[in-house]
Amino acid sequence: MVSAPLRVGTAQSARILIVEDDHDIARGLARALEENAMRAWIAPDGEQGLAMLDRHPFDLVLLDIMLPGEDGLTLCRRIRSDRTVPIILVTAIDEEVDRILGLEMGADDYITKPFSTREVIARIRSVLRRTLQNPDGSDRKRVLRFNGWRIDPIRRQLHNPEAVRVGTTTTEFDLLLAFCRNPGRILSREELLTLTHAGLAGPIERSVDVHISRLRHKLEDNPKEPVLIKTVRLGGYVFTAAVEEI
Amino acid sequence: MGTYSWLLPRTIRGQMTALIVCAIALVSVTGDVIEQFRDEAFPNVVDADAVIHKSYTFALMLKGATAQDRAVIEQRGAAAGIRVEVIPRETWRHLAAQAPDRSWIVTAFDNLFAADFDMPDDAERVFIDDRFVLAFDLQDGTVALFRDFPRTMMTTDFIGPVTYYSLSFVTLIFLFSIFAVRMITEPLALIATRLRHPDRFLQGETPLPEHGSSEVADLARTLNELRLRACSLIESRGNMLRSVGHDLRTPLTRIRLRAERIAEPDLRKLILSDIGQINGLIDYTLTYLREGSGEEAEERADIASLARSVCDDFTDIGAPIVYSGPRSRVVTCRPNAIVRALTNLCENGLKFGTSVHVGLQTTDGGDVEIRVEDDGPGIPAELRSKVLTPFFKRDGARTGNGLEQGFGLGLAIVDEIVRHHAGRLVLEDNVKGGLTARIRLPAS
Repeated sequence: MVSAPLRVGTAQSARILIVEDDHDIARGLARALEENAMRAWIAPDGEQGLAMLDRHPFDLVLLDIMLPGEDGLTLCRRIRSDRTVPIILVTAIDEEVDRILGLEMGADDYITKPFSTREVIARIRSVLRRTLQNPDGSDRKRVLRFNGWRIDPIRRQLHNPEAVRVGTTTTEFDLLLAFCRNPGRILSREELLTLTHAGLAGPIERSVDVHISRLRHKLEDNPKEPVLIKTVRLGGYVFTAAVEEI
Repeated sequence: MGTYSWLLPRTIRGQMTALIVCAIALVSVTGDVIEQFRDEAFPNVVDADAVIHKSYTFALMLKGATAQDRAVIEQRGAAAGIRVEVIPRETWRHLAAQAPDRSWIVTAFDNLFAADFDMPDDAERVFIDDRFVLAFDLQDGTVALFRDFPRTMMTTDFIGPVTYYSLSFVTLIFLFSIFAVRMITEPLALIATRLRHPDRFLQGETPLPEHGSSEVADLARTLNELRLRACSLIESRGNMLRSVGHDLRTPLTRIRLRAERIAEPDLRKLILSDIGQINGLIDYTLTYLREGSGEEAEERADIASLARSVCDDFTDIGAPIVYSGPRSRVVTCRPNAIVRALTNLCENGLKFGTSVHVGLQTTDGGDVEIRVEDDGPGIPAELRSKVLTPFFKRDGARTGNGLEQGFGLGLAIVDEIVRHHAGRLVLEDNVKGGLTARIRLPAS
């Protein structure tokens, strides 16, 4: 089964390895992937999964955490030790600690059972798109710091310079993260929308402004005269702080 | 302590007995010592009994004497340091009638430390010009006045008993209060403080200290054993439910993947909705268990921004929830749990009403109070405590509006979270006729 190099990142004929011991689920998943123009391989345990990874190039691994023998988390770390292939963990446990542990072990995303095929496909496409935009992928999980503030992408937490946890909405957090990953760059409203999936409610363009305004109230000393998130006339917004990885 | 520590009584009764014995021994030994010391160090302290006695004798001498003899006696007395005045009885009556009332403190001392010597019938003691005056009726129309009665309270009548009384009072009170505080009050107060927040006690790392009197230590030990037992029970039940929940999800995934292939749309929708409901129940149960185990760490968090963000998150998906309150209020809490609690309350409010208002304020005592108010039908007073118990479901007003039936865990989870913060959740009516859920979190 030798094939031409893939256009990685498009879901088109992306090669997916499913490591899952439950035969029915693995088959159901494989079928759903193939119906969505992807190609699926199944490994019933970690050893076979690793062996297949050695033999074939894959674009993504769907990895069940509860596996016979070596568990999914250990396998995830082993894969990550010498490969950059994106990993989505599949688990029956949706506890915060497990999610964080999985992401820290190097997984790119996390799906909880019972999932719908639509959800799985959406997640796979999203991870593939992200990988295309940022092939390295490793920096996405680092805690970032700006002006004494800390933003933790895995735990989705924001702490102010006094180390006090500050609450944010989902969109505010995604926006801030997008800014922190693109400091000094002018981001248009459209770019911010695609980076954050914001603007589901109300007139889209205005909605971004609303989220930015809320963010400014949380971050800026004087939200009326913002210095961190500046408005660029006809352009969008620019994040002025220096951002460092911790 | 060391080798002889076994000699010390361990029970409260034994310790009290030992304490009294010690106090008595201490008083009698030190009392004697003090008395000796007083006699040696202050030989000039006036003995009130002796003064009365002396004056009386003197008066008896004057009584039978002639006027000439009296002059001699007065003169000799003055030479010996006893001043006596002989005045007409009328003058004395007049003086005595004019004597001001004694202050209560003098009266109190006089009664407490009365002279041992009995006053003769024809003698009088009157308080004139800040001191006692002894008057003896000489039975011939005159009265002998002795003005040299000691002015101060420093008489033997005072010093003797006072040293003893006060010594024993002070010793007993002192020893008892130390004993009561150290051995009984402190350990009991500590136990009471810890038990005031049973959830924290059960889930906290530290057991009660098992020292103090043996009764108190016994109590602490028993409570610690109870705590361990309760913890292991809670944990094993929790683990069981947890693994049941997780294990249900794998077959549920299979069913779901198959159900998605059902050709008939109505049937597919029904089955998928059932699966969703089962999974919802699992979700809520696992959340309830997780909040019960309190695995999230406490940290300093801006609870106002957390509350505002919960509201904004609802507003962003088209369910406007208004927040009112300060922009910032920092407390120590479990932020994710607080967000979960507020989200549950808002969801609940939107399920039964059309608009929800979230208000945050600081009470006079510095506590944080968060109110989530809806305009739904409210909850009858008699059901308010029941809706906080897990899996409690009501029929009637709040479930009959065609919306998805809840699992009876939403409010139970909130209650669990609030109790974990040593706070209080109160449900009450509001002016809109709806329900107000009031969360109060202690300042510390």
